[in-house]
Amino acid sequence: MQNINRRPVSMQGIEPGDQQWELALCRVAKGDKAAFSALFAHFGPLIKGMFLRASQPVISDAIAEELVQEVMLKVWQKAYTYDVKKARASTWIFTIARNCRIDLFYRKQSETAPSINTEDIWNTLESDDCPVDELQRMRSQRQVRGSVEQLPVEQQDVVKRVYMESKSHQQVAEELGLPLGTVKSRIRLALQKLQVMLVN
Amino acid sequence: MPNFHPDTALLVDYASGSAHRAQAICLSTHLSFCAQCAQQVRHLEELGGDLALTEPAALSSGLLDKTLATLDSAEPPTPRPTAQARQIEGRTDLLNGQSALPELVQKLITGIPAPAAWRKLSNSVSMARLPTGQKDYEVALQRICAGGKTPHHGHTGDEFTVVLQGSFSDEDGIYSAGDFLYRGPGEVHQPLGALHEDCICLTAVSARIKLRSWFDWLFAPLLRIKPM
Repeated sequence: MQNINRRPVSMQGIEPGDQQWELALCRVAKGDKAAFSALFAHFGPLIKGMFLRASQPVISDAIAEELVQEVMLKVWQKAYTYDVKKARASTWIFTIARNCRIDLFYRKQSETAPSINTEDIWNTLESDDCPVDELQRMRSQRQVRGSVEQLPVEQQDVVKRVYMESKSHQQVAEELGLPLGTVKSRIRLALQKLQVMLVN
Repeated sequence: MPNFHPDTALLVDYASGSAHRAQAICLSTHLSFCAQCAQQVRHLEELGGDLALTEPAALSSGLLDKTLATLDSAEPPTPRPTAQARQIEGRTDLLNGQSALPELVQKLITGIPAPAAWRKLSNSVSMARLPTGQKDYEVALQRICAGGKTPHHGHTGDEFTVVLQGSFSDEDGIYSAGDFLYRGPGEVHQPLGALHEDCICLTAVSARIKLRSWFDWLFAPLLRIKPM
């Protein structure tokens, strides 16, 4: 791993700690460039790390940096749609980065321009009219309660391949030479232990 | 609230962004009907943020300044129009002016090159292909007319179905608006339309469908997939 200075960047009125980045996003929504720079310093390297580990498509260092710029520009442009009650900053930024990666993948593949774009298919928690409003009001800011490191090795492995290498469960099954059902049940068990399953 | 849902692994693929575009179109359509799965996806995205954004890679110096320099020339953010204003005009000829469809489906419909519309596959089934910019799946609207019977068919690939309007049934259950069905290779079924109304579904089919009887072969040329 590279040596990165991860000292929290402090801004006037925003103390490092709980909801630091959520507050920063709210400031970016008002056009605050200092808050944007702080978000960039924290999330930029994390977004680049995410892109470099992605498997579809495989992304070079130079492209990863272009994508970091693209993601952060979207953060700047879309910050006004960010709702602190609906998502943590990391969740929201993850969905934007994920969509940029999907875009890149399909830009490479598709020949004709479809009538829809990635964000029509993969929403990024901005719509005011989604049916989850009622449920979202009931929910509070939440960290993933369990730690991935505490999972049995084979479950950890599957979850990491899925989320960190952006592989589908079918690809993971092929890669590991496991039946699809085995991969599915490892995912379910892992999610139950991490307490992210809504219904068991 | 729908009764038939995608399995968790598919929702994970959607949240992590690895689901195939055609699958994601069906999943996203189901989510617009199903608050429970939509909420599950939010949790899975939260996990995504926690896992994918963990290992930093050093940025080249000057990247922040380069980005800052683009901010002012970037298009100013424009508020998204409200849901009502976003209702898409035209192509309602496809749907007999029935109840509102998910926004994504409406957008897909606008991509149909006019005047192509419903194409009859049999007396009871018609289909309208939807352009989605990928070649692995044929994505289409399928309409089973009231009381209609579809050919008994098996699959050599995947078939994803989301009911948009009306209902249909097969050997395993009755499916109505928002229900999500997956049929894998080797599975055989015969959907039947409800008696009192037409049923409209969004479908994504990955490979050629296998027909069961010599009679069904009459429909074979019509059932070959043609992604667009």
